[in-house]
Amino acid sequence: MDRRVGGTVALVVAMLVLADRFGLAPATRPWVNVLYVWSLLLAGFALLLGAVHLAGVHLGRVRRGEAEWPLSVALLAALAVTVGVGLADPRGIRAPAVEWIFDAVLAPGQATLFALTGLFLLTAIHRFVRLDRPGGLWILVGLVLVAVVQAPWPPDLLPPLWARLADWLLVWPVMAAWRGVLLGSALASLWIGGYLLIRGPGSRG
Amino acid sequence: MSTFGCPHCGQPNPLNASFCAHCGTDLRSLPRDERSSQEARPSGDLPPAPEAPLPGEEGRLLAEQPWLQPETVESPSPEEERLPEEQPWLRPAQEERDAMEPPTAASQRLVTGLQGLLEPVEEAGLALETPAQAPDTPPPAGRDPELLQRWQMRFAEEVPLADPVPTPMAPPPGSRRGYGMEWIGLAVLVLGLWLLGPPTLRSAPHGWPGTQAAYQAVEALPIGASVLVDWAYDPATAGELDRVAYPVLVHLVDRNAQFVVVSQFPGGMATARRTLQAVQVERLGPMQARTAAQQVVEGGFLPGGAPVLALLGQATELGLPVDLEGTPARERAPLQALQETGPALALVLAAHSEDVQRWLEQVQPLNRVPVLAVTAAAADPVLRPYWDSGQLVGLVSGYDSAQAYARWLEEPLPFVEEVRIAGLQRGQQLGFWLLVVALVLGHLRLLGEP
Repeated sequence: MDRRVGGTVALVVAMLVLADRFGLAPATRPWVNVLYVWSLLLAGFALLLGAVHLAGVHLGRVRRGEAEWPLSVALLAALAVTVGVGLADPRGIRAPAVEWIFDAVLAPGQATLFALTGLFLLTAIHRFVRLDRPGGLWILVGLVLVAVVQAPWPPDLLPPLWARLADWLLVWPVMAAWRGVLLGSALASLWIGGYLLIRGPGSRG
Repeated sequence: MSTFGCPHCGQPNPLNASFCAHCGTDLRSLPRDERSSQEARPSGDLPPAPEAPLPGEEGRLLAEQPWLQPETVESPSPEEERLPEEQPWLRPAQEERDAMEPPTAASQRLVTGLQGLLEPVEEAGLALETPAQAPDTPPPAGRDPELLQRWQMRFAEEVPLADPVPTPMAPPPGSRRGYGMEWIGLAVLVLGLWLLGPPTLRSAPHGWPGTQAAYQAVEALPIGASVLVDWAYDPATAGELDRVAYPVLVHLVDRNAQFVVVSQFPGGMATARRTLQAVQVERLGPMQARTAAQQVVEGGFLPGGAPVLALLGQATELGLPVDLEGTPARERAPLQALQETGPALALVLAAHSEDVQRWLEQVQPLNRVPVLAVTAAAADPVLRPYWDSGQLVGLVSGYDSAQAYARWLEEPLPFVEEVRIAGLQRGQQLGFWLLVVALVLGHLRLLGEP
């Protein structure tokens, strides 16, 4: 019963949005806008639920003394401090303390974590991009192709013909491959979306 | 409290224990469902010694609790059990020892039930309900220890957590020496070449197709035009994106553009505020920059992904209900102009190509506003088809394009900014060469393998 109600609601919403998108029913535009605003509210509420769930999970970890529980304590403390400081100051996210947390903790932390992907990439290339690996030749060819079209140095060291070759590679073979990927994934999304709406998420085969 | 027996000493421990309270064995690798399968044991009670169990019961008991099996292979000490986790290169030896033991029903489970509520999933070709075997019994077909070991090695190699080339801590006599010195030597060589290379190498940056069109699109904007900005990056990628976006933002500030900024990244709006402020201070001076900053409409963080973007395409004011001071954003001047005439340009500043694609799919078909993308170099190949098809009026990607863009500005960028971009370009080159070195070293090691 619940699944049928949910499926019907999803189907009606999909029809409304599609009709609006293709200009088939201009009168539905205000309703569709309301649906979009609802999706915004739902997403915001989902974020709140996510934060509450996160706190619950980590409180449980601390209470049970599971492995790495001190990290959970650090997470909960950071969450409490950030939320507390943001709510205590009427300026909200523009409060100096919140701005300090962003500048001194969040921004450097995020940048550092992302910078570590460079080391990960270096290790992965050394260990796994090898000709004896399954598909190693193809990965190597792809890597060389990307290096040819994106390396920062060829325009300096090589004749202008090289830059034109890189442009040609981007405009023709790379673009052809990406268009294929884009079209394929779009068609697959349409097919799966329609299939789920019509047959229901629990259907198989 | 429910307990389970330590696989090493058999003493009871809490279900969520990480280490045995009696012998210190690391219990973290023991799956939860295997612990809960012995939950019925009362707390504090040692498992009663089996009184000559029936053959059927014995088989079931051994299948469920393989550690009770008579030991034919010398059981590892707690230190040895910890070794594979701390020193993954010793794992093959551990796997070899495991392969010598007869596989039990527990070891065949690929996916185990949730706290024992669900039946375990069977691996194709392997029956779960098999009686326990004596250690000297030859394994049945499909469970050849060599085959199992080969498959284990194969899967272990394909996940990037395992070391595909087992490296002993101390190389045995006569073996090849390690590659540490080669690594260091080559890294020093690359660093030296990078540092000592001719400084005037970059006489003219390579402006990729799309950069000049981007400049012309901004130059063609009327003075004071409304620009809708999708700030699709946060501090994680700001190191590159701030520098790439800088000349474009400078150009827009020079054209006195009115910014309406939204972001689908939680940290995007704060990043936008800082970057825009820096650009405004640099171009307008501190006093005027303060006034200009107040004119920026901050749409804030928009959760919800692609579906919400469509709202920006057909009713932008509904997506930006209230600004940070509590004033409805629709009442502010730039947004009034936005409602009357629509934005003159949409600027998408994105670290990943997907954010530009989303905008082009969800927003651009609805408001028909030309889109200019400023992206990381890695996003360039994916977005080039959109530039080629005309869906993007301009594409600025990577340091090269940013530097080329900056050279067309009427008033050049400050010297500090140019030095900063040049330094980052050198860093990018160094990173590229290090990747090449890693690739070559990987294959050298491959050649040296027996």
